[in-house]
Amino acid sequence: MNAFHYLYKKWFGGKRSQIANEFSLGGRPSASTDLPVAKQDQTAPFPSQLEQIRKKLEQTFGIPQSKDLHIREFITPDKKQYLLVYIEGMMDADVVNRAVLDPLYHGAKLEIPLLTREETEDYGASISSILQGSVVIFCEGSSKAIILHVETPPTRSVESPKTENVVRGPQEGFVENVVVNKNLIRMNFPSPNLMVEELYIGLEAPAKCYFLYLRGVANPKLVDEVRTRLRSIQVDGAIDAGEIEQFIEDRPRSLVPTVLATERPDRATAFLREGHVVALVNRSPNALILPCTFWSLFHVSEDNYERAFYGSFIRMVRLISILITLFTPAFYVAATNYHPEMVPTDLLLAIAGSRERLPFPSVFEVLLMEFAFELIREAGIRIPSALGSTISIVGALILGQAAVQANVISPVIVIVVALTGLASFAIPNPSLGYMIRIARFGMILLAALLGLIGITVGFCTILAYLVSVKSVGVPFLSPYVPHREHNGDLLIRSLVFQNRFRPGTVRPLKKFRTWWSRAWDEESAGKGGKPGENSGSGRSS
Amino acid sequence: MKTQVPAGHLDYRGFTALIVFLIGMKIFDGGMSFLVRQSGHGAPIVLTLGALFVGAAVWMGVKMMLLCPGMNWLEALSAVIPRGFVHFFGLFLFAASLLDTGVNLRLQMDSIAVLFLRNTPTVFLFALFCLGILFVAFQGLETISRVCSIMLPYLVGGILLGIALLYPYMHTSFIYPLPGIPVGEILRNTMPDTSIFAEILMIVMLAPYARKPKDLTKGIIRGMLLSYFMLILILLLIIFIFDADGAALVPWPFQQALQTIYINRYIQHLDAFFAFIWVAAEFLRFIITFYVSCLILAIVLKLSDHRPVIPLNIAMVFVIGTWGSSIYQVTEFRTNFMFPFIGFPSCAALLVLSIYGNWRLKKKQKRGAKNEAA
Repeated sequence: MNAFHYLYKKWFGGKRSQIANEFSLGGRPSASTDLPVAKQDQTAPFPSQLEQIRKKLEQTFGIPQSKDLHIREFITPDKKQYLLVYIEGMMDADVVNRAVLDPLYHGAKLEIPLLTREETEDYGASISSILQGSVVIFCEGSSKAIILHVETPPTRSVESPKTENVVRGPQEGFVENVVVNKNLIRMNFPSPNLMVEELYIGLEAPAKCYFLYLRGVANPKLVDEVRTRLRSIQVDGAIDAGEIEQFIEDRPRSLVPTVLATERPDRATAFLREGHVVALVNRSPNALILPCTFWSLFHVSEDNYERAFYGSFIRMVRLISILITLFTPAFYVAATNYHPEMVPTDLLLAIAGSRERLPFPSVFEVLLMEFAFELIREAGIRIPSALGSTISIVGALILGQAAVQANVISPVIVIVVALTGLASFAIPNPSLGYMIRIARFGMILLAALLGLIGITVGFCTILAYLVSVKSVGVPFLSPYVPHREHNGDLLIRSLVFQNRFRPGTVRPLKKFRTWWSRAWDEESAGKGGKPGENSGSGRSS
Repeated sequence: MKTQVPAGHLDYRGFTALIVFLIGMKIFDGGMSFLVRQSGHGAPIVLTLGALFVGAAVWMGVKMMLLCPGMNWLEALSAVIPRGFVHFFGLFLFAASLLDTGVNLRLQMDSIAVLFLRNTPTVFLFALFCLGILFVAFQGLETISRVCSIMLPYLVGGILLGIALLYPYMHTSFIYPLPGIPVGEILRNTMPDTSIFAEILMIVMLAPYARKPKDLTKGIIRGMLLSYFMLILILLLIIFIFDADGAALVPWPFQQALQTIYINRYIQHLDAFFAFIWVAAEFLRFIITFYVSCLILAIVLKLSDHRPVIPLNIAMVFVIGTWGSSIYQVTEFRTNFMFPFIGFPSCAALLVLSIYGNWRLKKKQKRGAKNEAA
């Protein structure tokens, strides 16, 4: 009986209820904090003697073993003793020389601009500031330290996004500096209702994070849920948003991404406007967006910048590319092994002719070539850019032409794999791309086992799995299934001025986002909501 | 009886889809052939009478459940008839749904093996389907109904496309002579043929999962109507193509009709495309019947969670499905035992017990109102 109970708890006990209300998933953490633990642990006034402060700093930073903390002691002409503490290379030395050292050495008054100056009596706060690149000045006999915010952390300038390129639309992407990233969003949406909460993630080396949402639009339950998840992270330090993502997502072992990562500020802003929540992590050029549905992975920001027909067309191309990636190799295996009758006779004869002298079964060929293609793709990413062209030549020559000539694979396989590979590049989101590429291997194996029957069962199972996935309580395929209010902007792009509603999936506080924008147009007049109106007929259940 | 942990809330779309997959998608199984074999040209009339009979039974069942909100049909019954009988009937329903899953799954595997995978052992096919069913069943009722509502428009669209493509092969004169058999025989045949709608009993067991009572009634009406139209359309189609005498000899008339579609030299043998529709529809249907059997067992055993019985049930389905030595033996079992002794009694019980339950519950309510007034 005990064994039964153990197995029952193990299999079912840990799972969340399938009717968990939206935004109410997940256990509540026992403790949460906004401050780094380093600050909390060491919150204490510092000694008044500089020698004691120096000893304490040396102890904290492990000096002399650790070399990058600099403690400069100097005495001004009026015999006042100071300690200047900073980490080498993380601050603007020029500003320190000009605004601090020069005046002190020449007996002048300190003229540090107020904006960059802060005073603290807290030892922990001064340590955190030093670690973030500030200069801290301790003065003999004073119970306060002066923090000079002259940080110049190594960062790159704002450039085009690396993975989310668009032809039309803003060409700026997030960088590794969280403040810059936050300001990029702020510039896109300069509204006082854009709330920016600050929190630190990491017990040993806290990373600054911002947590953004639109007040009055984002559902408070959603905001609370994401905030709670972020605060519950107990880790020594965080390097990238990708790590944070795994801490807060609903199903971390799942193949399906439930947090959207984007490196486009305009995209993050668009989601904020709809009522989503955005998290920014220092040193990461990606924003995390919650909740995430299939449609948010499927759409790209350019869809809305182009005319509706162009956007719809490109969405169709994208959908077809997903289907090609998932099914083409599997269909090839199924058709050649189990259903030759479904291939037109001429094509069947051509395929049979090309396979006549081949030693391997078609499934082996497909798996071999798909693996080779993944190899080329991975090598292409890792290899130095100067050798990138070599990889493509070697890949094309050895794996394509040579393999065909050596009768290892059939020429049709090359076409199938190339088409699949090309289609996989058209999938807009890398996480979605990984998901489909991995699922494709499962489909190939099912096709090898049972042909089209296996593909059908696999497809239904995948669909059931996708339907069951939720992101912060929001079903992955909503608002399509389950039906929620939406503008119909899913596969077909609707007209911008007819996008009246914010998607019902995130249960926004304000339903309308577009009002009578074309009142001058008799045809479309009245198709938008009136300001202040909070009801209307969307595609709702 | 203890109410189960709800596996989600279903809207009317979910109920409609579940009913269409349970009943309407029987166009792909041997039931169509059985109807024509038994009633010949009178099969559409028999089907219509059966639909009317089951429609009345469901209507009474729903009315009874509306008097006991939040309860399934068995729970509502237990308020007015002896609990021992309700338990017995619950066990009967469990056995019926399990047999329905196992036997029909086996027949479908056999038909797939015959039509497409001649060299593949049926047991292997059966095992794969069981694994898929097991996986999806663990995702819960909400997931199942949502998958059904996603797939429904595409599958119905595909079926309509198939009907349109078969138009050149149809001979409408094959419907005559109508009704083809005496009225007495029509009425007699209606009894076993109502079993084609017997799965509706599974839907009344899912009543507590409706988001609102209106979702249940709306879903049942839409689902029943759509299922009936699909069944009658395909029944007429196979009579128009094969004639009643010919259709009685064809084991899977709709699939075999689809195999004949020829558009031109490049587009032929569309049966593989239609096989996708057929297999997807049947796969989802078996998931529903299997899941409901698990729910019923959990209700009968008074378990608070039905998930532990899922692995046990799938093992039983596997045993039932692989029991028969040949397709003929299993078909005989279904025709001679399941249709007359399980299908029809279930529908009749739904009608009779619901009428009785309604009467007793209303009486109880009236008495309660009188007492309150006093």
